[in-house]
Amino acid sequence: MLVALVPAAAQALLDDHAYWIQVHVWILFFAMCATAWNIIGGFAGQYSFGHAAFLGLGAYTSTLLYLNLGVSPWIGMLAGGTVAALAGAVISYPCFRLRGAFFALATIAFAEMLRVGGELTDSVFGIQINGARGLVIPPVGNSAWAFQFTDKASYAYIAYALLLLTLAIAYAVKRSRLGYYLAAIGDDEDAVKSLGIDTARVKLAALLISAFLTAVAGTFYAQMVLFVTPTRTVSLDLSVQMVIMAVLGGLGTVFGPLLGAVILVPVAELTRAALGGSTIQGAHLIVYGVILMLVVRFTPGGIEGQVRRACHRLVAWIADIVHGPAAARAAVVNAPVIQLPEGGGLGLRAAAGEAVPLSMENVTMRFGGAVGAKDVTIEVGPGEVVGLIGPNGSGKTTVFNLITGFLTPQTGRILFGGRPIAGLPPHRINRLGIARTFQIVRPFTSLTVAENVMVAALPRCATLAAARAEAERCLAFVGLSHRLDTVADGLSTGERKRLELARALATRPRLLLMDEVMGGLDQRSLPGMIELVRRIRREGISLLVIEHNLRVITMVTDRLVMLHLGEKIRDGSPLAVVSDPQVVDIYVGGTAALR
Amino acid sequence: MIYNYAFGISTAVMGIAAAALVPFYYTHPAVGTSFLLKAFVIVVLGGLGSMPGAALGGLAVGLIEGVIGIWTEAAVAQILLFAVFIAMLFFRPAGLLGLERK
Repeated sequence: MLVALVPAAAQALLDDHAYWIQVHVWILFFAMCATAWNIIGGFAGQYSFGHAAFLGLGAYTSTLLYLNLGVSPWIGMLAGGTVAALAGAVISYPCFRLRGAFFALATIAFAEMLRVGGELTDSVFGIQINGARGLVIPPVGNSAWAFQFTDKASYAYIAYALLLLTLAIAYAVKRSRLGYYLAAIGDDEDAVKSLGIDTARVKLAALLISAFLTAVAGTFYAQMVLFVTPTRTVSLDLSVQMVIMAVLGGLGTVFGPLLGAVILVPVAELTRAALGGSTIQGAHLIVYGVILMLVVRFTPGGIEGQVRRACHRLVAWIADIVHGPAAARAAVVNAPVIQLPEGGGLGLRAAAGEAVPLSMENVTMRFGGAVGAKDVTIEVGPGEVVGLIGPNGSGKTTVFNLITGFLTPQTGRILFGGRPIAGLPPHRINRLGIARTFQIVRPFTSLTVAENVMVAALPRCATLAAARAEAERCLAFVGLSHRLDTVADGLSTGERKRLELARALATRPRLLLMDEVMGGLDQRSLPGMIELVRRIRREGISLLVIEHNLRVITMVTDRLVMLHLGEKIRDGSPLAVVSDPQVVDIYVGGTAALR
Repeated sequence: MIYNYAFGISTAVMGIAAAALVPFYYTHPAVGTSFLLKAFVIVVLGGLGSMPGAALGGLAVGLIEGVIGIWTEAAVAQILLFAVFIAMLFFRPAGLLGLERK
C-alpha cells in the first residue's frame, strides 16, 4: 500500500509548481543551517543542540531593526549575525569547559532559556517583542530593499546565493589552519593542548563563525515567512534537525550537511504528503525515523563518505582500464624494523637556543583520598636524560601531567628555566618549550600522518606549506617518511609512538617528556627506538623518560628517579638504582619491603 | 549484553513511573519530551551515577518549580531551573552527591 501511494502522491505534487519551489527553498535553508552548525559541531566535534538560539537571535534582530527603525533586513542580517556571535561568545565561556554530552545539554539549556524567556517577555528595554505571539512583518509587495518578494523564485535565488556563501566559508575554514586545529580537536582535544594550541580560542573562533552564519539563515527565514515567534525559531526541534542533517550527510565534511538536507527535506515532505492524511496519524514521522535509523546504522560516517568512496572506486576502475591493473600501486611499504635516515638531524640545537633546567620542588598532588604525588622533587639539568621508573600507580604519569599543566599541584613549585610554570595551561607550557607524548598514544586518527605533525608545526609556521615542510622533516627524522599520507588510524602501535614523537618534536621543545615510547614494541623494533632516543638527545633536548623495561632505560639515561606510591624513593646513577635491593624488591616482590 | 539489560530495566522503570503519572497529568504521544530534559537536569544536578543524588536532584527540582511557581509563572521557574543546571555544570560538574573523579 505504501509503495503504491508514494508515486501517486509524488505525481500530484509535481504538478504543483509553487509547492516545489517552496520545498526547494526549504532544502537550501536547512542546508545553510546544517552547514553553519557543522563548522563547530562537525569540524570540532562540539555537538551543539542549541543552534536554533542563534537562528532566533538573527531572525529577531533583523525584524526588530526593520519594524522599529526601518533598517533594511539586509543590514539587519549582518547585525543579527553580530548579535548571535556575541551571544555565542558569552555562552562559550561556561560551555566549552564541558565535554561531550554535558556540552550538548548545556547548549540545550541555554536555548530553552532563551525560548521560554522570549515567550514570557512582552518588551525588552521598551521594545515590543510580543512574547509568545511573536512579530509580524507587514507585507509591502516586491521590494528588494525590504527583502520581500511576491514570488517564491526570488527567495530561491537568494537562498542559493546565501548557501553558496556559507559553503564557501565552510570550505575556507576547513582548508585553513583553523580547520586543521578544529579537526585535531575533534579527535583529541588534550593532545592538541599539549602541542601549544589554545583550544578554547580555536573553538571560540569556530563558534563565532558558526553562530553568525546561522543567524544569517535566521534573517532569511524571517523574511520568507514574515512571522517570527520564539516557539518557532528557537525550537529544540530545529536545533536537532541541524544536527541530524549534518550527521546524516557527513560530520566534519564541507558538503555533507548539504547532502543531508537534500535527502531529508524531500523525504520529510514526501512522506508527509503521501501519508500525512492516512488513517495512521503521524505515519510520515515513522517513515522518516526509520530512514534515519537505517542510514545511521549502515553508514556511520555519513552519506558524503559513501559518495566519496564510490568516486574513488570509479577513478581507480578507470585508471585500471587506462593503465592496466596497477600491481605496483598496491605495494605498501610495511617495514616492522625501524629504519632511520642516515645521520639525519633536525638542527633543533641551534633553533631551540640554550637548554633549560627543569626543577620540580616538593610537589604534592592528591585526588580525593588517593595520593598522586607526595613531596616529589625532580631535577632535569640542561641536556640531561633522566629516567622515571616505578611500578604501576607509582605516580609517573601524574608527574608528567603536573609538569605539562594537565594537573595543577596543590603544594610545591615547578620551575622551568627559573620561571614558575605550575598552574599555567598546557598550551602555554608547551610554548615555553616542554613537549610530551602520551602513555596511550593519541594520534589524531582522522588526519593523515603528515597532517598530524602539521597541527603541531602550524603555530610557528607562517603558511600551511611551511608547516607541511616542517612536518616532513620531523617525520623523516623518526623514520616515517614512507607514511606521510596514510591516515593515522591505520598505523601500527610502533608507528603511532614515533608519530607522537614527531608531533612533539615539531613544537621545537627544549625538554621532552616521553611516556613509555618503548612500551608495546617488539624486540626487533627496540634498537631503532633506542637509537631514535639517542638522536633526539643529540639535538640538545633534555629528556624525562618513563619506561618499564629497566634494561632499556639504563641504556639511554644519565640518571634514574624511582617513584613508589607517589613518593620519590631513589635518585641516582642508573646502575646504582637498578641494582638497589629495595628497588628490585619493589619490582619483583611487590610492595612489602618498603613499609 | 549488560547494556541491553540496563537499558531494558531503565525503560521498564520509566514505564512504571509514567503509569503512576497518568491519574494527575494529561496523556499525549509527545508528553515525554517535557520530562526528558527535566530528567537530564535532575540527574546532573544530583550527580551522574549516584542514586541518592538522583532522588535529591528530583526533590530539588520539584521544590524549585513548586515554590517559584507560587510567586510567578511556571515558565519563570523553568528558566531558573536551567540557570541552576548550567551553574551546576560549571561549578560542580560531579553534581551534589556525585563521586569525585580523578
